[in-house]
Amino acid sequence: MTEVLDLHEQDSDGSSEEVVLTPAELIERLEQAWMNEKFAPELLESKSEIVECVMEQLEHMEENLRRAKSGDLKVSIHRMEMERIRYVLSSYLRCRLMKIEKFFPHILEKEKMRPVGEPSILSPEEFVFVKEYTNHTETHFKNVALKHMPPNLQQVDLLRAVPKPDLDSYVFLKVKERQENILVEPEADEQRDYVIDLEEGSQHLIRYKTIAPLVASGAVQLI
Amino acid sequence: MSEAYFPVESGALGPEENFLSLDDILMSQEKLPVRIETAMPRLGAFFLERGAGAESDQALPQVRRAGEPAGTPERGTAFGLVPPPPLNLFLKLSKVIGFPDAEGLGTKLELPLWLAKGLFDTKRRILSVELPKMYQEGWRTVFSADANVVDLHKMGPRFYGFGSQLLHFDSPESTDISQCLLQTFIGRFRRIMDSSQNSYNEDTSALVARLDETERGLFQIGQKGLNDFQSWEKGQASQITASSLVQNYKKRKFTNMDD
Repeated sequence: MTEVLDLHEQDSDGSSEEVVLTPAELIERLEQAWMNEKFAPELLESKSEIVECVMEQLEHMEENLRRAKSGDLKVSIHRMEMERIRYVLSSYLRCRLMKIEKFFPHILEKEKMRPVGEPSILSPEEFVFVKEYTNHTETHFKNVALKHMPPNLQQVDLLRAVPKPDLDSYVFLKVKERQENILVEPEADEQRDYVIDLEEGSQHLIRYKTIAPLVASGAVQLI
Repeated sequence: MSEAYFPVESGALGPEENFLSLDDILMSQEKLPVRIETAMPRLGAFFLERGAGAESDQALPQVRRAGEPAGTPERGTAFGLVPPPPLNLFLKLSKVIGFPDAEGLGTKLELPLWLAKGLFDTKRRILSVELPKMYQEGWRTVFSADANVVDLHKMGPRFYGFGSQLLHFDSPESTDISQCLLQTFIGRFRRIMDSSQNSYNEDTSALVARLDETERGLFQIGQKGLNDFQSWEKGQASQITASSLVQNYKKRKFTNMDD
């Protein structure tokens, strides 16, 4: 994003801390959230503040482009950039929706069990979506099969029927902040647990379960 | 991610098969040779089809069909101590007739995997499971010699999944079986990856004929990746095409118009 179009150079986080981000940093954060979401086997925390800020930025850019004189090369380049940002944003949201549809009973259960202080993994719209999706699926099961079954077989426990996200799957990651003492539990029984340190800038292939809290805090980046 | 429909994938290679997965339902239908350890009086004609005659008892719930009198109520089931039976259990049991006959100990039967798993219990000793031929010592040495040559499709089209679920029945050979499955897969994997990534727009039936279902799934993923890459290179990736779910509707509409 250049100075030519005179964009707002400051942007604040909607939440409690007032963090000032340049647009470039905002886009970088969006891309990181996008990559993390794509490669993680479970649904990650909802970054709705980034989504909102990016949408605001896109609106500003659109307005500025309308005011600028047409036929200018810069206009088409900026339009291309806007399209790219829009694609990243919608891909991020699509990925989250796909995971919600895949794991809906577990996500709903997690949301119910969540202690009050913790941030939610779902945005308010996504929460409405999960509830409606669960209701529709249950109604569908009932109408297609369950109501024709004898009375003692008319329940399907969705929490057990729908497969859980596989937290043991392996992911590639790049370390952004140095970490010490990560406990690794190898798969085979013969090897015992051992402890490793993660150097900054190194890349690893490791089970998701081990580094899940690091992804949430932003100390590592999935690639 | 651009798919319209995500089928529930098979969990057979993991700790437990997935309830809603069609692949798992097909896999657990395959037969397993089994010996009965306790007498099961009055379990009738259900077992007649599968081996020696048997006698029926309260071991399996009976289905009351329309028109039949509500006769003897079932007196509790063997499944009472086991988590509630899956949906497909009921569909299979709808064929039970309930017919008094005699069954003794030690009868050999072939039961599908889901039934054997439900009845298996180390404490109550209802069944004892024998491993099918291809998981036994003889075939294991064949696999360790050269895994690439074996026709896994003939060996039971779901070799890996079935083998992984067999580990549930604690048998002294379980570690050997798991090692054998792993080594077979490692031996065959390279050829699958190579052939799937390098045959573009060709007839692949010769390559796929000797693979089992898990490997065929991998082969298809490889082919799909290759095709997607080629279409991206040709610039077809940005063209919008009709979704696979909707294409059939369109065809029907045309035939309607023609009538």
